[in-house]
Amino acid sequence: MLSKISTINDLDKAIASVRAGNTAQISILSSLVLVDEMMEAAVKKGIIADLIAILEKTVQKGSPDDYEVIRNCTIALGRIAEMGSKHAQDIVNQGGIDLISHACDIQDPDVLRACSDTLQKLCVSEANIKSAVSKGCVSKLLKSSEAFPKDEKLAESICSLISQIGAEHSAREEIINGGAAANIVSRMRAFFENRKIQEQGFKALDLISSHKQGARQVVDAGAVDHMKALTKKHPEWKKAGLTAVGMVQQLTKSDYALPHLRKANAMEAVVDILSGKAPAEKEKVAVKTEAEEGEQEPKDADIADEGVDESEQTLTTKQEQDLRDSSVEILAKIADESEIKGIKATMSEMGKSISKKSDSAQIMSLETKLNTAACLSLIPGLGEEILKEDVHNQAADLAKKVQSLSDCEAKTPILASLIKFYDNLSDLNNKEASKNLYGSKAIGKDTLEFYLSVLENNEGPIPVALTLRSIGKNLAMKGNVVEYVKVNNLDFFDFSNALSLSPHRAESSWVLIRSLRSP
Amino acid sequence: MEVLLEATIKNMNKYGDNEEVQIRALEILDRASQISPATANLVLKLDGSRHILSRIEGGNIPSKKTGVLSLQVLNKLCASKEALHHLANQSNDRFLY
Repeated sequence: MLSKISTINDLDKAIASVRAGNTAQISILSSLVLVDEMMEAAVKKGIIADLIAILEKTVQKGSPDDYEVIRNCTIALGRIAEMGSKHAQDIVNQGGIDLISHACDIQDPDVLRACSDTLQKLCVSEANIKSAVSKGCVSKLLKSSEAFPKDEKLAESICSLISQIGAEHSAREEIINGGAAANIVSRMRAFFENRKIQEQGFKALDLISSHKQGARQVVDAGAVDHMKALTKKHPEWKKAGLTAVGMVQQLTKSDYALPHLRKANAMEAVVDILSGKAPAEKEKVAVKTEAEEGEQEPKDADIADEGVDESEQTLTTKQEQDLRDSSVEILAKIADESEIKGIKATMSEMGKSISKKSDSAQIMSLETKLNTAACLSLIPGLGEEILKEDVHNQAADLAKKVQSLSDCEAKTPILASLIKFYDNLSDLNNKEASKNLYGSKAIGKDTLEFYLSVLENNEGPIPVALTLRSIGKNLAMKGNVVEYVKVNNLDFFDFSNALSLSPHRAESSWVLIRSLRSP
Repeated sequence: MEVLLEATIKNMNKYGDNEEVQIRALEILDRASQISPATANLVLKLDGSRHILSRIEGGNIPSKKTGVLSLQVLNKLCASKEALHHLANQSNDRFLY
């Protein structure tokens, strides 16, 4: 709207007023520079130098009366920097970071937020990040922001800043020295329902955890317990889950953190994240948009993007693969082999006792056990152990029992977990170490029988979609195609039975094939 | 395989308004169409292609992804003249002419 109602004259007036000392016009100026053309014109007219000069003057005075001017100047500089790295560099070269560093001492949440936001836009290069860190911007921001634990926007901005600049090694040390882990975890706890804070917070903690001292701080700050609580409450926040798994993966490399992860039963949270136990999934199964298993998918950009907007929390195929790889690495380090026997016992017991009246706690426990079994089967060694222990027999009994239940709340989640279990087991048929065992125990046959029963028994769209997804995945794996083709003897379709076509109609068919082949 | 494809196609018809089911089922038909000529023939015989054609003819393509997958399957099925004849018989005149 600004681009429609504002003119270059408005901009000229605002610049002239600012230069004449009317600092109230800075808020108008910072809004006008939101319009690309205005911003370009303002930069050409030398507005960066003006803003820097005003900022210098007001920051030195440090009077509370000037806080608004400082904030508006900083915001305007941030907006200009956002438009391109050249402008960002101009601001840095003219001393922007020095001035923002001074502004970071100001005990005002709006000023601090403006500083944090603008620093994110200025820290576009390693040199700028180093400059911001060496001038104490990060440590000052962390310290000053402690006075405003209830400011959600400030927390959001600081988590984003730390997750951005923490990627730079030297900045990471400064962040750790400033005790950022405790600061971030306390904000993540305080704003539990803010998804952005959780995502950025875990991203920052992931970076901090890669440092020996940082990993200790992250554990001591209670990040693992927070992750468990968040996963339980919001399993549908897949991006936060993905970054949390990244953090745990780093923590498993720390001798200090590893025993804590085991003690805190971080495995449970990782299993929940990996198995995608999510309310969102109960309504809709994510439609992947990228190439699967190296197969060529439609290349049209519009098609590739389709589905992404439908759910912001849908992970891409690459992210899902990263999540899977990281989780397997984590579980291989923290999972307990004795868990398998526990899973087997629970499945056996529940196979006998589950009924329409089973309470939600029982169902949740079974779902967790099934998901754990599904995840453990991915781990080299444990997958074979699951086969040796014949856990699939309990799964088959359980599947029959669940399918015999009339419609009840428990049915869909348990079926979904069973499908994931069988889906992961089918991977064992493609691994050298386990394929003989998989074949000798005829699990492929069990799997197909179960899948067919889901498809034929009117189990609802979610189990059907999950089953179809798994079948599609299996048909893409050479080892499993053989199993699938064996289900029935192939009846070669006899084209001689096809109705004869007139030459005209046959010719027209080529129109079809041509149209099908054209993009 | 036949029983698997039959169940897949049955669910495609049953959950015609569920895009996720359509996409997953089309992926299966797509893969079945390239496993072997015999499995491709099964897709034709079991009316998987008829389902796709009727949705195209009815303009019932909910997304570009389902549209592209549908065309991919049909394209793979058109591997022989016989298959093409069969496809032509499964579609209505308006679509072909």
